[in-house]
Formats: sequence, structure tokens, C-alpha cells
Amino acid sequence: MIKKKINIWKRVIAYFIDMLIINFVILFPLNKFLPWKNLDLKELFTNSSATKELAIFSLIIALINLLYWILFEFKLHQTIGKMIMRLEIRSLFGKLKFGQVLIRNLTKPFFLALLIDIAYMLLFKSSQRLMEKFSGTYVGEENESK
Amino acid sequence: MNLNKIKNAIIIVLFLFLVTFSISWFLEKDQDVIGEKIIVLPLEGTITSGGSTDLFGGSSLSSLTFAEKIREINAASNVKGVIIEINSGGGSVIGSEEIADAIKELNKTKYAVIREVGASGAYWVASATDKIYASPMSITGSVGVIGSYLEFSGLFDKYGVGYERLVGGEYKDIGSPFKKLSLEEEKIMQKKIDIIHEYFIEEVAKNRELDVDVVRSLADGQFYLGIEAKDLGLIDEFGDTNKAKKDMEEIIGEYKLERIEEKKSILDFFKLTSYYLGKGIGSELVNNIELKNKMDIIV
Repeated sequence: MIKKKINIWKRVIAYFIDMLIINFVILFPLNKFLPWKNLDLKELFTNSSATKELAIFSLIIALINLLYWILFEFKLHQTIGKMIMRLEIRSLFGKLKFGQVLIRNLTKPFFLALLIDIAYMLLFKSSQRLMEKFSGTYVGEENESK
Repeated sequence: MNLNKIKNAIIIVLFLFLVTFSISWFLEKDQDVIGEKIIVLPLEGTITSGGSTDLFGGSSLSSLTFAEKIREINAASNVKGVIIEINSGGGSVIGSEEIADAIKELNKTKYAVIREVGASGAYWVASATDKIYASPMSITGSVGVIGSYLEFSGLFDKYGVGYERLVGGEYKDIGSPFKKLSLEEEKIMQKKIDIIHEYFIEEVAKNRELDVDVVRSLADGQFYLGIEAKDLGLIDEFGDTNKAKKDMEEIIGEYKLERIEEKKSILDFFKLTSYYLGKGIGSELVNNIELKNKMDIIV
């Protein structure tokens, strides 16, 4: 059972800290390859080679992004952002399993999917995102008794 | 915060950093997947200002399509150099000029490699690049203009077919294959051809940074073998695409070579087949021998 609803701003700040780490530390070696760095928008629609490159890059970045959330949450039940904000992931059904961590993070690399995921939480005044609901997980305070 | 957790967090970040670093290393090694490259763009067949492919084997190259392709390449930031691989005896004046202009606007290092033939309009195109490569045995040059055409009036007379001339404007049907050219018409046509010829000479001279008089002296329409063309300054180096790439890499650095080929799908084949079946092969043959009321001027 979810003990108490946590401040949503703590989660937002934690998310932005994680995104900063992903974009400026983890993805740093790929920066020089980013095809959209000098990309003319017209090129995206007319140049099949540029479109292919963009698709490959989007996939690589999505996978690394997903790996970050999964590794941290499965191994430590926290990401760096959550550590700083003193939040952690919990399972509603005992021990946190890998499948649960995978499901709850599936929307993380995809901005639109993540928006829908979060919209559920805001619209239904829930303490869980839609994917958290599916995975049977939630975010709680670190010092809160389990 | 638990010290053990911080240690684990650092390990995970380092691991992920290593993953992206490996991907970056792989991408740098295999520029085929992604990254910066030198493009090889083949220019084959007769240059036309419209463009179609002949079912009977001969092929033509649309200047509009080719120039558009060059503009796409120009916009692609990951393309560092372009090699135009030429195998063409020229074609339409406008088509050749359109391609040459698009190449001149290309903001990349650009070389031309003449394979079997790079003559007339195709040489005009080659002259717009930074450097021309050819084999000593390649056919090149042929800076000249053709306006010749078949004239059928004698044949029509033989079969009792007459040409009823109804024109508004004395020279409206100039170049019609159904009547002989008058002396005056011949002078007019020759004047136009001379103007195109002079324009062609000036363009080549400008592109190759040669003296106009030197180019004019070579522009009697004859073709030159690569070995002669190099002495005359019409080409720069002997060599093929690989040699051109190597030389280009000395200037812009090493990049993977990517060849852009026009891919024909099975759908294109069916489209073309049904077009010819519907239109009738006979009528297409008639078109192919230029039985139409106009004269084509080609370079």
C-alpha cells in the first residue's frame, strides 16, 4: 500500500537532475555525432540519409536513456536525482523485480509517451504514473518506513 | 546518503559512459552507419532537361533530378566532398548548364572523374568542378554544338506527300523536318548555334580558368583522349575514383566513400512496361527517330 503522497515538485526536480546527468555526462561522447547539430529542417524531409541517421541516433539515445533508469532503479532503487531528493522506488508486491523496473521506465525515453504517462497522474490526482500503476510500483520518501 | 550507494552510482555512471564511448568509437570506425562521408554521384547517359529512361537500352539523365540531388547533398552537413563520376557524351544545352550551375553552387570539395566518355555537355559539367580526373584513354572535350537533324521532304515527295505550309511569322517552322531549310533560315540557325557555341566556350574557359582564345582554339568539336586533354589543360590528373578520393582526402581528411545510385524498384519496371505497352512500341520508335516538328540543339 502507498504510505503517503509525496510532493510532486520533488519528483520533477529529481527528473531534471537525472536528465542533466544523462545529457551532459553519459551522452557526452556521442555529442560530436549528433546529426541534428547543423541540420537544416528541410534536409530532414528531403535527405533520406539524414533521416536514417536521425532514426539510428534516436534509437541509440533512447536505449541508453532507458538503461540509465533501469540500472539505477533495479540496483539501487533510486536514480541520482532521487538520491539527492531523498526519494526511492518501492514495489507494491514485496521485493522490487526487474520486470517491474522495466515496465515503469518504458515511457522515459519517449517524450510524448512520458507526457501521457504523467498526465494520468495529474488528471486522476494519483500518486502513481500510468506505468507505475501497471508495474505495481510507486515513489516514496527515503526515510519513510516501508 | 549511504556511501555504498554513492559508490554504486558512480560505477553505473561510469559503465554507461563506457557504453556511449564504445558506441562513439564504433561510429567513428564505421562511417558507413553514420557520420561524415565523401559522396560519389554517377552521371550517366544523355543529359536532358526533362528526363526519362529509354526502354530500349539507352538511358538519359534528367538535369532537374540531378541538380536537385546536388542541392540535397549541399544541404547535408555530413557530406564533406563530392566526386561526380561521368560517363556521358553530353546532351541538352539547358540540361548541361543546369547541372553545371548546381555544381558551382556546391559548397564542398568537388571533383569530376571521367570514365569512358565525358564529352561536350558532360565536359561542361566536369569543368564546373574543382579538379577533373580521367583515364589517358577517356574521351573528353568535344566542345561544340550540334543542330543537325533528318529532313524528310525528299522522301515525302517520292510518296506524293506534300507539306502545306501555313505559318504566322516567316520563320515559325524553321527546322521542320518536312521542308528544306532556305538559305536565310540556314543563316539564322547557324547564328544561334554559334551563339551557343561561344557561350559554351566562355563557360568552360571561366570554369577551368583558361584563356578564352585557348579554349576557342580547342573547341572545334573534336574529342580529345585523356592523354591529349591533360597536355591541353582540359583535365588535371590521370586516375579513377579511388585516386580522386585519395587526393581529396589529402585536403579534407579521411572519410568513408558512399555511392549514390538511382535505385529502380520493381514498381518502376511495371510502370515503364505498362507505359510502353499502352502507348505502343511503334509510336515510341517514331519518337526516337525525332519525327517531330522541332529541331534539338545539343552539346
